[in-house]
Amino acid sequence: MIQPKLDTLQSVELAEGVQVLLRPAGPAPRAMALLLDLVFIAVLILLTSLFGMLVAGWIGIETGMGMLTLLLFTIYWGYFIIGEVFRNGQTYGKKLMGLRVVRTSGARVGWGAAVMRNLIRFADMMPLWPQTAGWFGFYLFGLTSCLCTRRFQRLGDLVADTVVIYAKADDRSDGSRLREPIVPQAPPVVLTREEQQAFMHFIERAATWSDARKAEMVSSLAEVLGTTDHERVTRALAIGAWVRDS
Amino acid sequence: MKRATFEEQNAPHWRELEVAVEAMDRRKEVSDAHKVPHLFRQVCGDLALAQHRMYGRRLCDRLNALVIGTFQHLQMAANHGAGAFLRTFGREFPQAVRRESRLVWLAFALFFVPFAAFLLAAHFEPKWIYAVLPPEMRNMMDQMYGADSQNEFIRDRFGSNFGMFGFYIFNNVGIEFRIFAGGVLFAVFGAWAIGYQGVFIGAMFGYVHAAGNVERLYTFASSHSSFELLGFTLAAAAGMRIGLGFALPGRLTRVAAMREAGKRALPILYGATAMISVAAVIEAFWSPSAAPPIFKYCVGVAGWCLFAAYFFFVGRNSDEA
Repeated sequence: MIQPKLDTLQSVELAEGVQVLLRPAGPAPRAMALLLDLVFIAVLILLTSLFGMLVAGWIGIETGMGMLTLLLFTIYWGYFIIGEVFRNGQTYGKKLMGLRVVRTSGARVGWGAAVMRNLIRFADMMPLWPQTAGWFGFYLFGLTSCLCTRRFQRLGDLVADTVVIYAKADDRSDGSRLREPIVPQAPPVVLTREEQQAFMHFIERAATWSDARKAEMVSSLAEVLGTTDHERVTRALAIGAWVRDS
Repeated sequence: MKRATFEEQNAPHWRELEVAVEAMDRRKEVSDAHKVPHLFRQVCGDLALAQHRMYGRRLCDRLNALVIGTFQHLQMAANHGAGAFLRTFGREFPQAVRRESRLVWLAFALFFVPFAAFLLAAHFEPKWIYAVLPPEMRNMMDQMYGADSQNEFIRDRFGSNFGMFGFYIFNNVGIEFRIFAGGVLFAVFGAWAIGYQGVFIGAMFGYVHAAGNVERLYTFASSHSSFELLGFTLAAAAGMRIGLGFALPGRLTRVAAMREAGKRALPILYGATAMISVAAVIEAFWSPSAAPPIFKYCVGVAGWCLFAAYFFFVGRNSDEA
């Protein structure tokens, strides 16, 4: 029986016949990116207001106010849309967090999808914060939606068929950051493909696990690998290194 | 082949493509752009080999990111340009509205039934109007459209037509987006939002009928009325379309139903936003002007007739049933 995978990697097959992996980002990095974006928007609004007040001296205060209101409106609604369409799916906040908005097929976010997902941002923002007259909300609907879908999609993502992925590779996935150097050692039996892959994943992710966790993972191979926990872990790492380098 | 050898042999290609993708990301000139598709196919092949031969997460992740990054740039952009604009407003928008005609009529009724009710209330039971409108609103209506109001009140308040334009865009498009978002959330909120607008605006109009200068109100409001009210109605219909997609998915999953509904609702939303923006232009620059009232009434009526003709007749072709 094929077990459903526990990871969040989504694989998409491109027309070229290769399978790429998309790593959807969860609510926490997205929330950070959103906070950063809000800070940027606030800064933009401040600068535009200053600019507007300077210019109002020339063209009259009321026309200046009109222009200012228009600009504020454009910034508030357009910041996200313009960032996603013209900056490769990244607003400044997302760029700083290393995130990116793409369609679920791996393709670029176009105008329709960007507009749709940002207008529905209003629905995701509910419940609104009453004191701010509809500008800020608590994002409870969006958060619930993220937690209930496989790919951490909020309501706007579901309707627009987009997903927020990590743009850069995870640079912790490398066996070279272990404390002790590993001497590769051949396994006692010939390994199948899945087994080779398992050992290689083990050594690649070993740096991110505690010793107790590593020991727990190799405990099912107790008879083959050795008697003490430390011995088993070292042996498993050695086999992983052998597989990786061969 | 060992991983180290594989990396050594192919690293120059990867580096070349990475440089090109970086340049494309920054919208700069790419030298030898004609090589990019070739390099892309090569890197796709390398990624498939690396995955099959299990060369390790680091290598596979690097190639994975490179393929995705190039793919985003190599795709053809679907539509832009003047042709797209004509196509959207000449065909997609009216067709989309006709396809969702039941929801559009529902939103229409949700707005205009309370509106008409409050207009009637002005004659028969003004206490309903006083129940809905708070005193501040009544004062404002008195100042704007009261029997003895000054003519230039609105312009004085905002100082200039452009000032008003900015305010109207901000206010009305904001209302429109809120109506749309309300519709997305369970459709019922959208119905409530548009009904609320109908009640409130109806109460305002009714109040002026009961206690204000009716001519002033209609000379101001008639010209942009068709754009603005139909815009709100369509935004409500678009939002409810998506909300209903979630609530009544038919034979699709809820998510797929919402996605399909989104595709159908998007042209309606574009059109509604355009209409409300035009309404803001008219409201700011034409409506407060000193043109004779009969002229403004004619523009208003013409607006309604034109929209009726537009939605019933434009963009029909033989495929439509």
